[in-house]
Amino acid sequence: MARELMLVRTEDLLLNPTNRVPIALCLDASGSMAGAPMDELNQGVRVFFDALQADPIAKASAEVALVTFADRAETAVDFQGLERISQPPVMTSTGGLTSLGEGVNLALDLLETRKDEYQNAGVDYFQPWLVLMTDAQPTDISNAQQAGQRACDMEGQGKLVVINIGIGTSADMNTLAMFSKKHKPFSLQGLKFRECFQWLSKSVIRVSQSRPGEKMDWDYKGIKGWGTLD
Amino acid sequence: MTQTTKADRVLEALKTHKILGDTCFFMDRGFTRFLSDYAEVLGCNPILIPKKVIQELKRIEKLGDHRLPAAQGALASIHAAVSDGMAEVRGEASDDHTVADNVISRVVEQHIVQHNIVVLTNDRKLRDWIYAKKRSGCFSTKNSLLVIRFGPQRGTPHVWAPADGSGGGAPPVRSAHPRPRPSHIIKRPNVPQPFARSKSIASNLDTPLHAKDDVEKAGVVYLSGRRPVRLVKKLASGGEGAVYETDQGAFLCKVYHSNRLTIGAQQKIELMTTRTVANSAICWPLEPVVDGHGVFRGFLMPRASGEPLGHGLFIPTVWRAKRPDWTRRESVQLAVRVLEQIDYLHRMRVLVGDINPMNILVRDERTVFFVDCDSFQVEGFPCPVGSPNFVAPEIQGVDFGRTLRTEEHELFAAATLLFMIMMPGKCPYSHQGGGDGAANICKMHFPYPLGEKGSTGAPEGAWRFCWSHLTRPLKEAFHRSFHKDFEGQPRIAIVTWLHLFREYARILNKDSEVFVGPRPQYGFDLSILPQNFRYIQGKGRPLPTGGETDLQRSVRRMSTATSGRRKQPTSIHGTMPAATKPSTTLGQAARRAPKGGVSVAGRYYAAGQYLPPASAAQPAQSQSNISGASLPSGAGLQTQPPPQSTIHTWLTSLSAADWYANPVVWALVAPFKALLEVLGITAIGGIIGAVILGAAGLIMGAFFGSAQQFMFGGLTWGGMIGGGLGALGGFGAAGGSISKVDDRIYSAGGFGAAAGAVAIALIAGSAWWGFLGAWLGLTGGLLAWRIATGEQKAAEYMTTWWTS
Repeated sequence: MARELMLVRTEDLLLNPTNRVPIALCLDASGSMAGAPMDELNQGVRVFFDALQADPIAKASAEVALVTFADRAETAVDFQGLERISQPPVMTSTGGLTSLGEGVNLALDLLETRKDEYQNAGVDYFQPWLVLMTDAQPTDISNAQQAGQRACDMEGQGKLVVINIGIGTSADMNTLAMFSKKHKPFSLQGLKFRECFQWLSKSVIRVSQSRPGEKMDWDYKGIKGWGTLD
Repeated sequence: MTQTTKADRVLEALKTHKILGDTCFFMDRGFTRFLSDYAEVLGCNPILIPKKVIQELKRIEKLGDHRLPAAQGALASIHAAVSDGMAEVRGEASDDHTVADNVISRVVEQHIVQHNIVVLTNDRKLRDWIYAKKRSGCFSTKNSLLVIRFGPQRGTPHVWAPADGSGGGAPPVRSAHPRPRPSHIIKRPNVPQPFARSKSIASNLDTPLHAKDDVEKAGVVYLSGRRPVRLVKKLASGGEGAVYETDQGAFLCKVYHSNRLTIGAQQKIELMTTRTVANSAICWPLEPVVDGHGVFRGFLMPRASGEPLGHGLFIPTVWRAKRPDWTRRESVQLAVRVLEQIDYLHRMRVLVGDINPMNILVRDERTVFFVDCDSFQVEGFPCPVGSPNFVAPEIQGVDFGRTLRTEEHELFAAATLLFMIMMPGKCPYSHQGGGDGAANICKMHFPYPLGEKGSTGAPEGAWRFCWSHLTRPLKEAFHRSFHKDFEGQPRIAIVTWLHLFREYARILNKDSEVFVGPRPQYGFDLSILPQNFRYIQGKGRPLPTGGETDLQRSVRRMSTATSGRRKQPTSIHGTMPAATKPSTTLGQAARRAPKGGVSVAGRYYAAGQYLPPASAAQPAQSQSNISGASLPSGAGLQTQPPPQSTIHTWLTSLSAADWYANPVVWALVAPFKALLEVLGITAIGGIIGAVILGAAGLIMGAFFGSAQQFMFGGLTWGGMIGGGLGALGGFGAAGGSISKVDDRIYSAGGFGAAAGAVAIALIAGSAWWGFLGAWLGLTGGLLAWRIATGEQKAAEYMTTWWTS
């Protein structure tokens, strides 16, 4: 990691007292997403960042990492204070494969690292989030199974909130279901990324204004406007 | 008599007399100031405090009446004074059966023959007794006997003349019994008739009210006498209800959601509105409102303005940009203003209950608004909500709708809020490796150090620096509030906090005590997020002349540390600079100070900074004395300081920094520590090395000659052993990453040792000389490192072990 970024990430921890909500967005950038879906997804992510930055507490509290996966998994944005990111990078679809397992593993690695950094610095944090979106079947099934197990274990220990979303009709909901034992995957109909991310940001804002340890009622009802509980 | 001559007389008396103190004197609010003003002389001639005084203060503390804050303040100040060598607690078994006044009288009678004695008391009876005894000639001595008290008007100490006017007219009369209350308790704005105390919760709290009208849609509610109030604009909506702008100008209206309407809510508002609160900072309900059918729907309240603390100061990086003029002074003023409101409410017997940063709006440091007042706890109506971070450990997780809070619970919340104002936004229990907020509170691990009491896991960065820029009395108050050691003990009263914060404000308002900017200077950093630990002149590490700030250092250290290496929270002792570590006591510092010169001690005290005691000699007199557990017996006054050998005194007066700052000491001691530390870590490597060398030696011996030749032989062998030592140096270099202080130290030491060993072994042609060379090389390497990094680093290295 660039030394500059490392210093910036550390400085955030040493000066900002707010309890953090780390959110790892793990998004499909495979060939099938090319064109309109990718544009909508980019706009959705933009909406997400804008909404978080508009709320003073969420802006200080939320930290977003952005991982994309196609042929390979890549870190587009690593965890850091939101005020450092004026706008998220624009994603493009990069290849034919869907390395979902690799993507989730990378996202979870980033989360683990950031959590260690929180602990070392003495920064309190809320349950981290993993937001997983894909429109196809993974091409690295064994990786995906292993990553799914990892996510479920963390979820079971109360160390992760998983939001797994299938895009459109071609998404493999069975594979997505491997990533959470607590609930079934969500299905995103049409390309309503914006509404989806609006809902996400609202949830993040609500969490950031609660206090660590406080029980959160999940606003699953809010999802009805734009998708269905499969 | 002018102030100056009064002060001179006091100073003269303190210098030349043995000093005895009485309970009421310590309870006067001027006592803290007295300590700081006369720190220098008291450091040489401590106040002798009868243990009975401590017992009396503790009794008052237990009674918990109006004298509680004064007693708490007195105990805290005495504690600080004792640990700084400015006071000593004395007592013996027979004292237990009498009162402090009698103890003092007895000691005076016993010792006036040998000493001049001055008694510190505000008690007229005691004064009269003393002067009567003196006049009657009971004491066949020419020694001086004086009384010093705090003047009732100005609160400054002066020599209290006898009532008959001999030696200066008697000051205006103030009744000695009951004991005077500190004036800051008296001078407070009047509150309305306080509410009744209630031990039981009101009934019918949750019985719903049935409302049919949709007042929000109709846009109108009614006051008594059917005066309409129009709801103009919805400002906010929450779980309980919505807040509207009204046509009544300065007043807002809160309308409860119809499913939240209860008899309890109605009765509570009706009770609250029986009082008129003439305090604009509290958005107290003014009048209930009803709908067209006369059903209770909400209430009218004054409008607040400003930004919630939680959106402002508690996100300090944003606040700094928004309010670049906001300094520590403003934060302290804000704390005072918030405390004044809480104090006001408490005197009305109202508890805020849900103290939290979203319920306090800040317009500026002198203008705050307490909103959400309908949640306050009044009589039997509880405050139904709570924010986990502000909830005392003993009531974590209870149902607030069914529980009446006590003032003790409120004091925890207030202490948390004050902490978060001074350490902008940081919760007191956040620490390295911590869990979530509520779990942290239940564990009661308070990670910040207090003088001799180290603690582990203080959050990295600005928070440690913030903490170091608080005064010692404030740190003690926070410790009492949060530290597990004080669990179950009474918490710091609001008036005590007010006193402490006003004192802090007074210090910060002196330009000579403060500075601004990232470059470290002596004194208090006015920045709300300081970048350096506090530097104290003449103490701990000296002021760096350049280079990086402490914050930059932390950032660099943390970002280079891999997550794998730093799983364990680091000890705060491992990373704090010597300045904040235990060092000499104030008393000793004063004793060491040149007579007549400017005493460093005096200056610290003026800054309100009570230096922590650390020496082996002192701890016995700190906490345990206050609790009366292990009092030194014998009320006999001593003309000599406590018996201690001079070497002992000298040793204990040296701080770690003083000790290792000396290059000779460093050169002698550091190699041993380095060797120990490196050997500890590379023991396994060392064993492997020894086996290989040993095997090589056997083979070579078989081929080339005897064991004796191996040990003392020629050039070849010397070189080989030198090489072996070089390998050890290499281990050292590899082990460099284990030093918590600086990665380079073992590289320097190791390479130095290797080079030295090889060089001398080659020159002298013997292995034994190689050992000496290795040692010299190691010393040289470490010395070079010390020169490169400076004496603080050296001291830090010597006091930090890789395991700590």
